[in-house]
Amino acid sequence: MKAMKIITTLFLMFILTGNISAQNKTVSGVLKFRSSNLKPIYQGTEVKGYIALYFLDKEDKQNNTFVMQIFDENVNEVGQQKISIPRSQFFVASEYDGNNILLKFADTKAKLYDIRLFDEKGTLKKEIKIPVGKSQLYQLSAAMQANTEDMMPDLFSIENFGFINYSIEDFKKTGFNINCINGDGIKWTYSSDKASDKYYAAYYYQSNEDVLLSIVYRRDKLFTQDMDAFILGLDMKTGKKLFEIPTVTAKYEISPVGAYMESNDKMVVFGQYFPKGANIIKDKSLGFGVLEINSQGKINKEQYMTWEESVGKFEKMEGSKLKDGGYIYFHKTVKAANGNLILVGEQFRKAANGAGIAAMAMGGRSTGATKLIITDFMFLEFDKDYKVINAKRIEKHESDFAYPGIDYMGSMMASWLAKSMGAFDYEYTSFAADNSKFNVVYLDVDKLEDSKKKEIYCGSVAYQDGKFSVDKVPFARDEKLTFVKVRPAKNGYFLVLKYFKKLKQFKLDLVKFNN
Amino acid sequence: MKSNFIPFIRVHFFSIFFLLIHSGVCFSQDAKEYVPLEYTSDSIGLDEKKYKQSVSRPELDALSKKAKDEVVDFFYWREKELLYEIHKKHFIKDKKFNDYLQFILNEIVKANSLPDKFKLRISRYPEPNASCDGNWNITFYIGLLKKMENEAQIAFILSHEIAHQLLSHVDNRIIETIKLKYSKDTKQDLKEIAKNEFGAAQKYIEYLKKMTYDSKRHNRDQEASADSLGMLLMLNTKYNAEAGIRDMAILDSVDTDTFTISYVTYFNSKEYPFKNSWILPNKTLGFGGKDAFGSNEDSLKTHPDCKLRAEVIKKMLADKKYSPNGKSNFIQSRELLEGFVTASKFEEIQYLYDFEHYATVLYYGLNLLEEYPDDVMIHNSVAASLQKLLNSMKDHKLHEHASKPSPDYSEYLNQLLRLLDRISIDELKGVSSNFVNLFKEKFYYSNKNFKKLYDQNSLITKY
Repeated sequence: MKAMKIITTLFLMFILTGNISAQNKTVSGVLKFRSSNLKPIYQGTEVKGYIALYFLDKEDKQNNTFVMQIFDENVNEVGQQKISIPRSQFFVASEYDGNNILLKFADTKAKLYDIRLFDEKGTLKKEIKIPVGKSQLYQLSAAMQANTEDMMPDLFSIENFGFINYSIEDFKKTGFNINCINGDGIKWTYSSDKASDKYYAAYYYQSNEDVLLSIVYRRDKLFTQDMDAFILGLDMKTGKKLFEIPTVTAKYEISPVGAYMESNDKMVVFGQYFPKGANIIKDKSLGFGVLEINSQGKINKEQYMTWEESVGKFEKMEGSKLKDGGYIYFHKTVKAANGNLILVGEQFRKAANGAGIAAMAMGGRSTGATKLIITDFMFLEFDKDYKVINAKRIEKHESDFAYPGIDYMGSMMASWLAKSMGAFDYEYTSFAADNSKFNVVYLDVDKLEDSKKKEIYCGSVAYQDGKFSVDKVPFARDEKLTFVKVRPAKNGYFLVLKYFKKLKQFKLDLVKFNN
Repeated sequence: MKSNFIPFIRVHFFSIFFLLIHSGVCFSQDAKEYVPLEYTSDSIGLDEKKYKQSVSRPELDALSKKAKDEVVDFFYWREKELLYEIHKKHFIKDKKFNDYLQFILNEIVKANSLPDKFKLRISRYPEPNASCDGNWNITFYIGLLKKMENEAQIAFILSHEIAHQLLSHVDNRIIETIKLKYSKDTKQDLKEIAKNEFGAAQKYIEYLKKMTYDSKRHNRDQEASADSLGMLLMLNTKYNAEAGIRDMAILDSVDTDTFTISYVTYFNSKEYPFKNSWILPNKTLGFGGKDAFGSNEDSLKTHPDCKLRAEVIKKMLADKKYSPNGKSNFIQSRELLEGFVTASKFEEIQYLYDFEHYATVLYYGLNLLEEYPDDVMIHNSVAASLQKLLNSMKDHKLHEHASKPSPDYSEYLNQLLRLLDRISIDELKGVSSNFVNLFKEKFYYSNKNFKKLYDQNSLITKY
């Protein structure tokens, strides 16, 4: 009878995939499905589609066959095909540059990224192998488990230009490679000093047609919390280094939250500042610092605001701590259409973990005596002169994050861990095509009083014409649901992914925010 | 599709991949407000146990218990589905309308001395189709009725559906499919496939593909034989059998969306100006549009090509040295059919509204306004749909009433869907206000429904 069940299900898969109704997308015949089977395909910061990968078959001892289904931004299916994936590989991310779709797989055995480039007809154009270090593979595997892979993005597309891929490689210590890839393959590669005794990691910040801006972290030991950072500028066309700007001035060190280019000769680095020589992970910051730097790396302007001078105008502060308790973790810096700079932050505090303490007392496995409580959003708005003109608090319900080891971590370190584990309620930021608006999308879980039930909302904080607005949408509950997840979507929308195990179906609903 | 292994519910006269809710037709140009017809809602219960016990067919005796149970389950489901549709007002109750089509059916039955067991219904569903469920129930959809030019064309389509019943196509196909599913050979084949350590699923799929292609080929054969028998039935009637050739030409073009709508005409004003950015296309990604298993589209078709069917019909008539002399395109009133055809266009809109496809009401409604600019029913349907869409947007349920733009839709439909996709709630209020303001002078004092919608619009758009 097992064979009969399989044949029926495969029949459904063969015949029914792509069953379209007027309102949503339903895919049938899906034997096994995890939320990580569906990922967005980005073009820069914009969601342009989705990829769903399902296991189909064991191909041979080394490879499995998957079905790859591609949807556009409106969840219309635009093609599908079988794809052979070595068993040692897992899917990491996908990007679209307006001409080609790049799929990135990580191979834990061969220690490489397997990059496959398809054109818009679904033809495989190139397969590229890029070496990757053990530490990054561990990180990626952990992120996969936590389903937070998009929290540490290292692949970007640039419209009609190509893709930028970041990877960590085991040189003498660990270093990084930055690859520029287009339809013809790897166009250029920039690598950190392979003979260096230091450990490096690089992440994308911003780019235009001339310059690629990255943040590079450097440390002496792999597990030290002591690190410094600098901004690396590369020539977008050749990959040659244009500048390397330390984020240290005569008095202070800046831990960048964001950096952007106002022109090719004016870069702005924005972040929290610390006394020179401080540990930016362990120590408390003094406030916010801004550096304006020219293309030669010369600092033309530096400006600092203490917490009291910035957030303190709107909230009661005690140093870098809010008086009502807790700190702010900044997820993103956005340069809005009106020229103002918005920092997207989420408030958190450490608290006793009752369940963890009880488990410890009873000698069982525990998540520790301390947990993080994640509370409201805090949006800081700076004008063109970097003066704080607004600190907008957006209230939401509290959520918890407990994890072994938090007891021994400082607040900031614990918040980094929470970020890497996807524990914050922040989900993603999307931008209108003309950049006139951006929406910060988050989850808000209301644990209903006197009930074991909870209501989950997907919220959106929009910023347009200098004003913030909030909209919240409750998820549709359905008893037949196996799980429901929010996935990023085009601006003004979120995607609800629902899986029905018994029906062997998943459904995709694009839901519109009203802000 | 509610049964896992049963690919067809009914034998359809013409099956299309129904991506869009097509809509329809209705009434006289002189009418200033089309009044919708009455619909069925009578509900009768169905005792599952009694029904299943009553099923008795000699061909079922040869089946295993499991296979027999599955066939009987299907028969029960078929019956229940019909009752559900009746209850949910899927059929037109109007006596004149029904009598007109029933007369044509009776002509075919009488002329061929067929058993008087057929039950004909007119479905409000806008799909251009007709069907026979295998249990003497024939359904004619208004989506097809609106395309009909004469009675003889309807007669050929009914003859074709009658032929399906007389040849037991539906029941045979169900029984054969289930028999195949439980056959020793199939079980053995599956066991052999399961022995493969690698590539078993793909071998299953190849096996299924072959089964599916065989099944579809069988469908196409059945359609061809229904055309042949249908034509023989038709030849015995007073109707012009050449209508079958024209039917094929109509069906061949039925999927082509020819609507052209200038949205700016209806959705623009000084206060709420129309934005071209609402409707302009943006580049979306593509991936070749193929399926993963290399399915052959032609092999998956349930019906032979219409042009080919027309040729076969022509040849049949030529072989029989057929002459239309003495045969009629109309036995009943031509005007009455024209009235029904017109009514179908309006009924289509009413159906879409009743079943909450509000975006599609806008599309078909605005198109129909070009033809019937003075009919207030269309204006009211469009105005009410705009208000429903506005309310659904407020409730974050717009996706339940409006499809997303798709490469499968026509450009003008996509323009509307892009507008709904991109427009803000305040802008939609403006669009809604523009529409009712445009026709205020014309209808506000003469039509109480329009007045109500106008006043309601002021309230909805105020908050």
